[in-house]
Amino acid sequence: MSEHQHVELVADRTVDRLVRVALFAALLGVLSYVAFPYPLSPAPVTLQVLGVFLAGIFLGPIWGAIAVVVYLVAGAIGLPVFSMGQSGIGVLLSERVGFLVSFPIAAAMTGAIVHGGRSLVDPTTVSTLRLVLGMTLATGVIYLLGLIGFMIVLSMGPVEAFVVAGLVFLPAEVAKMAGAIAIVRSARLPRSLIDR
Amino acid sequence: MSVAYRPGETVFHRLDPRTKLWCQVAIVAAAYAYTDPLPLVGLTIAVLVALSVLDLSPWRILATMRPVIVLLTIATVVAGVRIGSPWFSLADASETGIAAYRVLLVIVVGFVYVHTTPTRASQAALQWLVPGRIGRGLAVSVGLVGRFLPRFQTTARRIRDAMAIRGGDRMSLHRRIAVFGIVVLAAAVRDADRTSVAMRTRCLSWNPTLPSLSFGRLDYLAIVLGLGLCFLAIRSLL
Repeated sequence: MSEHQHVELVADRTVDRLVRVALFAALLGVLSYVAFPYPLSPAPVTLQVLGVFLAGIFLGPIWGAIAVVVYLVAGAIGLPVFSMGQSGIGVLLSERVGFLVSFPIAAAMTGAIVHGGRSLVDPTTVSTLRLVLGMTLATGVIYLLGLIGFMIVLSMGPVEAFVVAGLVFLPAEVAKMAGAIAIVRSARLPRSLIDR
Repeated sequence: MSVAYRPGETVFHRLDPRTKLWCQVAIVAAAYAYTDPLPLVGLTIAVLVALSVLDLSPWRILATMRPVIVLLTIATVVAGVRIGSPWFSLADASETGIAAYRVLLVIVVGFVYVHTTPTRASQAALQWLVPGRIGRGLAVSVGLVGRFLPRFQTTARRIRDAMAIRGGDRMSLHRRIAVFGIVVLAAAVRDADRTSVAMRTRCLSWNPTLPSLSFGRLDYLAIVLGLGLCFLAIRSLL
């Protein structure tokens, strides 16, 4: 007797959403791998936070946060998406735990402020002030949770943690914000990214 | 180059991915619960044995972790620095140094999983861990990330090379980020749009054919070991 299995197809709109989520999760992985030499830091600076900003700006608070969660899960199970192409639960639970855990919250915060709620607007029409506000608050959350994680995991005081993991990296975040605004304002982005 | 999956027949390859995930969580919990150097010596020996079984050189592993090691070394030194006499506290520096060493061990424990578990087996474990459509959606998305990642990385490398040839290194940091980000994002979106059309045409289903998972005798042994570690971790907190 032959076995029959009921096949449940995924709706076209859901396919689009899953692909968009995976696109930003993979993009975040690529941006985490790309390192620019940075004179203030002995370690190169990656564009990981730029990926978090872009996920919130282009996908909105909910799907932006989901894309970042997919990124974290992909990294935890072994895809080389974390900083400098690393992966594994160990990296997720290392001194970076606070930074990584803050990313979905930061993407949701950026998305909520840029889009002014859950319904999405065309991000290219959003004012620069709103974009800057969204990314600044998101950066605040990233560094707040990131430094708390750093302090707990490495048994450090708040000042020492800020010196090692905050002070030298904060100016680079400003450059990433400026980069994100230039990306949003670019006429070279495909319309499919904005049209829904 | 980071640690990646390599097929093999070792004891770690034979374990079910769910067991390996559980054991990782248990080991990490125990490592963070016990802050004395002695348990860390035990974990170090266990990690070295695991690397030896997997034929992975500890030096090669350390080389892949160079940026993390630099950061943790700076953290250790900064933790010891005092403004005023005696200028440096060895006790504070050693406390952070031990914690930093523990972080390195925890990261390597994660590498053992990555080195011995194919992504599809992890996807199946994910679907088991997160039931329903959320789990299936998560597994599909992670699969797509695995498909996109090498393509996007190739695109990113090509763009960086092109920028370097055209004198992009002389641009300001934010200008470089913007140019690079625009070109990478545009290429990635076009790639994703093509994938989306192909997936809709081929009728993506919620019933993926992921590898079937099953527990063996070795898995039960590892689960009990993990339970023991979790018990010790909880006991140390009480």
